[in-house]
Amino acid sequence: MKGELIPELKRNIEEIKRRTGGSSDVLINEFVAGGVHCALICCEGMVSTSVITELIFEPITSIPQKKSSHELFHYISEELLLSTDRPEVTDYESLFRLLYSGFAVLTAEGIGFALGFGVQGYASRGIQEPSGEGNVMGAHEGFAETIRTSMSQIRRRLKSPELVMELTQKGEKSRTDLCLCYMKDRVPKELLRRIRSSLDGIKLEAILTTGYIRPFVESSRFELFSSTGTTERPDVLCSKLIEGRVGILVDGVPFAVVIPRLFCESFQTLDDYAYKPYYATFIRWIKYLAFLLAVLLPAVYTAIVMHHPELLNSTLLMILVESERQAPLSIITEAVGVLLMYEVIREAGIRLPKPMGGAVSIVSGLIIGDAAVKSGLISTPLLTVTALAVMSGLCVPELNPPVTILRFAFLAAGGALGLFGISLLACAVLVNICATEDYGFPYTAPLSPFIRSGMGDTAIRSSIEKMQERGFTVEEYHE
Amino acid sequence: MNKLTGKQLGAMLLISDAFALFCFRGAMSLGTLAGLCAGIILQFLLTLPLIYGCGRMGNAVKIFFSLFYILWGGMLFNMQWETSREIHIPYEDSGGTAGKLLISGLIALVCMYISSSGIKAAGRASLIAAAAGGLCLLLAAVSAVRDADWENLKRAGSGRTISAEIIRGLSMSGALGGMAVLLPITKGSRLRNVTGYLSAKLILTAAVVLVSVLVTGGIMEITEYPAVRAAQLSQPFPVQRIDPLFMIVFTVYAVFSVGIQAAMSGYIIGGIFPSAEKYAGAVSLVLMTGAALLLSGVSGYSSITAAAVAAAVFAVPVISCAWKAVRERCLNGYRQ
Repeated sequence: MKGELIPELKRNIEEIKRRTGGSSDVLINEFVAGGVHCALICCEGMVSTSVITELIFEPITSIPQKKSSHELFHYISEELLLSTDRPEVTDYESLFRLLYSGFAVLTAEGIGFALGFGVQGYASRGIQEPSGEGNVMGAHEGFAETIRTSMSQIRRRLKSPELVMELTQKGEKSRTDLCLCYMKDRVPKELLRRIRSSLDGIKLEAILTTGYIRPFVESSRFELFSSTGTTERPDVLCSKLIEGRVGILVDGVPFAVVIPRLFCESFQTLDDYAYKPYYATFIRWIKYLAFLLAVLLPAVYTAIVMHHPELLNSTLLMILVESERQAPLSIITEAVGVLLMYEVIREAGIRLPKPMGGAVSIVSGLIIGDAAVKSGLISTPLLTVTALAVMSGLCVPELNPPVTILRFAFLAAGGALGLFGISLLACAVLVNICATEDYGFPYTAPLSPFIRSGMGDTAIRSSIEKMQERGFTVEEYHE
Repeated sequence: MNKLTGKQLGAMLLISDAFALFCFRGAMSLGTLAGLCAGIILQFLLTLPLIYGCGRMGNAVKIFFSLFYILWGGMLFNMQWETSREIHIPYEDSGGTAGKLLISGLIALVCMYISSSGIKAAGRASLIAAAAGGLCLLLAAVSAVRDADWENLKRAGSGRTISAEIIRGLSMSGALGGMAVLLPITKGSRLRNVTGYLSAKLILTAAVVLVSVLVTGGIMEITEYPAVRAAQLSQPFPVQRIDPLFMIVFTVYAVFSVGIQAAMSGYIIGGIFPSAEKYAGAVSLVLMTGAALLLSGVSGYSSITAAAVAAAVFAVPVISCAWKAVRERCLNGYRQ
């Protein structure tokens, strides 16, 4: 791919056409400027035609006669100042990188380099409300697909020279822009060094989503919960950067990867800091409870009804016995069936076109659910328990994938071995969570290792002044 | 290697102690309480050499400790096997020996996972498990107080002398041996870490023995496992039973206490044979199972077990320290 630009315009154009395979979106405009034969090459759809016409063609065609192409390029570069971003390229690799990033490249007869002009003007989705991280009191602004827009969103919130945003390109074919963001006075140097080294290790043809790079910055051992997080909110990323974490933006993806991520952070939202501390603490504990219910409720229900009915009082026991007596399937089959049904409906709801989402809700909720209970296929208590578990899982959406799998695993353990099975599996899961660690930051901090000062934003939500006084950075949790 | 915190060290050792207390076999009395508490003070004295830096491990010492953990793990396995007769575990009762084997196999599987995850992960998990278990035990203790008969303090008698109770306490303190591996990799002052752990152990022992005596004192002669029986008899509600909750704590503590021994043994074996590090935990667990078979039917509450614990905590570190000093002196003399 690399190769020096040919100083002969005709051959140069032929070489470009050969390398692009005559791709229709590569536009080559040949013209004469200052008495020198030139060509302006750009990629259709990546540049703004009005900007090219106004800022390049109009000034360039009115250039007075020049003695040579070198003089012409010197004039354009030093005196005409066509755009703020005007790199010089001497090889084809750089030329195509600029071309496909929305630059217009000017080349001329008898000169071995070209000038690029930043005239990007591709269509992109504007800034919209984040779809997965709802917020009541905070900003209603999510990241955009264009990396430069996302970078500006961060910069607008952190107008500090300490904020550093490093752009690199990864992906042999996709040449995707990645942006490493950090606060240079807060980030642990070792963390930054190791993340850079991990990113250097990326050997991929294309990076199309954050999921492509996360395995490279996470531990390779089997972890149920991910030790890197994602956010689609610039304000959340800014709060993480201030705590000394590192963010990675990927061009084309409206999410940022946050490193390191802790378990307790999944229960924190920006709204917590907008409400009074007592209410925020209450909401946080509701979310902890919801997480436990989401994972354990169907399993505990099944275990109690099947193996430990002595845990129930007689009234509740009679209600359950009565309803389960009428159901034709065993409790565990019922529970697995209902949970599978929910997953199918959920997946259908996500993949279907939006206008049909409502229809899915009606069919699933009213028709299937109601019919299943009325026909006696599923007992009402079990359906209630399952619905409650599923709803609880939605309180902590970030943990939904592991919660879903754990719900099934615990259900199987509880159904087969009762509370004993649940306890055994809980031990294994607990050890897995505790073994989760990236770059020396334990996922379970500040719970284990126990860090008392960390409880101010974990067990409770203390006042903003207190948290500010503490001057927390993530380095506190490093082991 | 990154280090454990004092709290994690305490949790790892306390879990094992608590499990040994749940499996405590035979009568308990105020004399038992006094003996066990006095034993803990004696244990503090025994750990002084470790606190003051003895116990740097040569390969012979490493092998001794590895064997010790394997044997203690085997004994814990046996305790679980024996005590689970008293606790209703689904499938185990109906499955007979096959059911018991299945249950033990599952426990071993989880222990293997714990040991393969390493000491650091086991330490972090132990802290959370110990805290959650402690909360459940507190609830059980509070509900037991309702059923407590203070006259039982006088009625219950174990028929043992204080010195016999001290030996009994020492014989069920195999967890102490873990200090040889864990103390050097624990952050903070050793003295503070050990006193913190032993104080917690004192409180835990006092609470469990006292509650057991208060609840089961009247039927102590016919009670094989007083702690388990106390949990079964302590029901806070008139028409509901909460003993499955005790089973959860029992299971979690059983798994962690065996898993931690396997992790420590694996850590040592991995240190001696770095190429076998990956499988060291699993190998230790297999050896533990073998030890459990060998030791089945052998009473753990013997002077031999107590002597082995004392050797692990006191004698071996002191001898290893003395040996090192003599060797260094000889080497210095030779150089001069």
